[in-house]
Amino acid sequence: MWMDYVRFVLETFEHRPTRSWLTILGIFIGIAAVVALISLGQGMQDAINHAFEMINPNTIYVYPGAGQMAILSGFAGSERLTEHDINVIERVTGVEKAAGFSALLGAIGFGDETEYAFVIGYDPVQMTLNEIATLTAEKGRELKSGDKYKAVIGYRYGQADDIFKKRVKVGDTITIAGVDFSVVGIASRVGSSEDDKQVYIPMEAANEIFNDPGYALAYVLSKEGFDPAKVAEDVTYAMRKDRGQKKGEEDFTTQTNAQMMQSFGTILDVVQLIVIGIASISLIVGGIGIMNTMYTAVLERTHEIGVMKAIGARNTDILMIFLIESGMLGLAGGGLGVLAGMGVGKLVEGLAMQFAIPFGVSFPLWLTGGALLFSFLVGSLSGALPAMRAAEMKPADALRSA
Amino acid sequence: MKMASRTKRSGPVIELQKVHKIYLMGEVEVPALRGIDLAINEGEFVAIIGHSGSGKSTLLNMVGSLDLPTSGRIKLDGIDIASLSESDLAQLRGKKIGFVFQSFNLMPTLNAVENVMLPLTFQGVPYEERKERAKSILMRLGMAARMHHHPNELSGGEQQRVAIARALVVDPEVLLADEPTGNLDYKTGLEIMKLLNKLHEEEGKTIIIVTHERFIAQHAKRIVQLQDGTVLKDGKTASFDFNNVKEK
Repeated sequence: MWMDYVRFVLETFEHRPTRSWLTILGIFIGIAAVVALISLGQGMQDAINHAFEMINPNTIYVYPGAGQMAILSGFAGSERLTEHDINVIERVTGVEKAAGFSALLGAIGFGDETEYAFVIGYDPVQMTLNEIATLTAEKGRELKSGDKYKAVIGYRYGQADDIFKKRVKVGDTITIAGVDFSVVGIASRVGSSEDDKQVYIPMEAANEIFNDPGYALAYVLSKEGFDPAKVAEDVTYAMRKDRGQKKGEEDFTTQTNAQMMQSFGTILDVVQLIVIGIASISLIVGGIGIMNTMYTAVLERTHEIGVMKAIGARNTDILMIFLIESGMLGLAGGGLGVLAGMGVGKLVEGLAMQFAIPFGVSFPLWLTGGALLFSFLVGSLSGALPAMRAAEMKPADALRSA
Repeated sequence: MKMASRTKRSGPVIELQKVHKIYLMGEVEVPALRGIDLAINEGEFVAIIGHSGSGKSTLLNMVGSLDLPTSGRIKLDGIDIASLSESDLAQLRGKKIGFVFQSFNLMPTLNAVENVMLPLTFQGVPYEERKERAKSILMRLGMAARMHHHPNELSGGEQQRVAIARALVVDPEVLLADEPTGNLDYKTGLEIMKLLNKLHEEEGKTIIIVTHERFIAQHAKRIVQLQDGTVLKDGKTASFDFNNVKEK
């Protein structure tokens, strides 16, 4: 019985292709949009989580400025933390060590070319490169105590035709804000084009050449066995007391790695929600599209339904035929939509790779499976319901229409 | 392939008792049948004639269970069709009645063989058997060469032949034809009537046709004339008085 109906349905598709394609179109677009958007969102989330996982969980960041976007005020603005702040922090129980660093945009010169990049000033005695930027010196060495006009440069500088035409090698001289620095090391690859463009110099030199003393950010490591969140609270308390500020009036922010992940996570969630909202709208429109087309199609075939009843089809036979037909249409649209959505996702992934952004789309089973199920259900119902209505007419009445 | 003759049954194949049908057109009640009593026996070839509005198509719909009467009883092979569920009625219809329509009503997406196979699908007959039966009937009706064509590739006469094959494939008790020659030219119409005659004489099929054309009706053996929803005259063709029946 089933196969017969499927065969009958396939004949309909073969002989009325345009009608079938139009029906599918709505669902196809809706599903493609949903799959593409959600898989990209998932990929983004995974990428960011992965990046955060690489950072030491005992890390606490303290930066000047308060509020959501405070982290930028240190880098882009003129707020600063001082050596005094570092001392206050270090006295807090549970703090393993604390060190500040600055990050300023500087002109990097090599040969007769100049490029602008972030210059990070830090104290190599207090912190390792791995702690500030999760990288090591792949070539040459890291900065050490006693270095002044020495620099470790980002991965990209070591590539020809990237930032500069020629490769920068260990031992070469570059200028930073007009001052000569000797390259002692080239960093390993982080993966982001901006991070791989940074230059690391000793804090002392940075203070001098930029004439902008102070730290944009304090990096604090909490002791093993201490809860970083509790330590962060204690740091906040200590600094607040030191600055004579009341609770809630702080002009600085303390954030654990976990908290930072969370803020990012929240922002991402909101973005995801908006994205899903948009995708859902297109899905609903697609669903309505298929309902509309199926409804009209069935109405047009009321006469045909009458004939089928006259030659012995029961109501259930009619229902089966139309359920299978519209279900298959829905599934086809959904299937194609899933493939298209995956294609778009992969395309974006490829594009991201071009820009050296490590990003992997993920296609969880609940997404693809759910999309297929949805399109099958919406398809089946949209066709079956009007078909049942037509089937319930007396055959004589059905034969009279159209 | 000759059909085995049936054992003689007791009672008529089709029986109508005091059948009324009233249509509701908005607020207005339009009576189509006003108390029809009719019995048709196995092996009869009956023509139902009348002007448009006489109720002949409505009567055929009743007989074929495509519609239900407002009051009165219709018995098909002794079974009161009002007592059946929609599902059972459809199955009964599929097994015992073969329909032939004026406008052929073939499925445009299927070819001739597939069209003829369709009623058997609803009866649950397996694929190979359906195909065999459909093919053999089509060959018997002279459609051997054209049986894989689609309706839009067939002439009117050929389409009606396929429709008749479809009606016959279930080996029904009764063949019902509503103006079977209405969409055909004179010559083709005659061919179809010859075919129906052959089916009646050689195979003993019970045939009821509805027509408004006298010369078509004269192919049948018994004529029932309707007027204003009632039976005006009912008798053998040979002795039928056609005075109040207009020529086409």
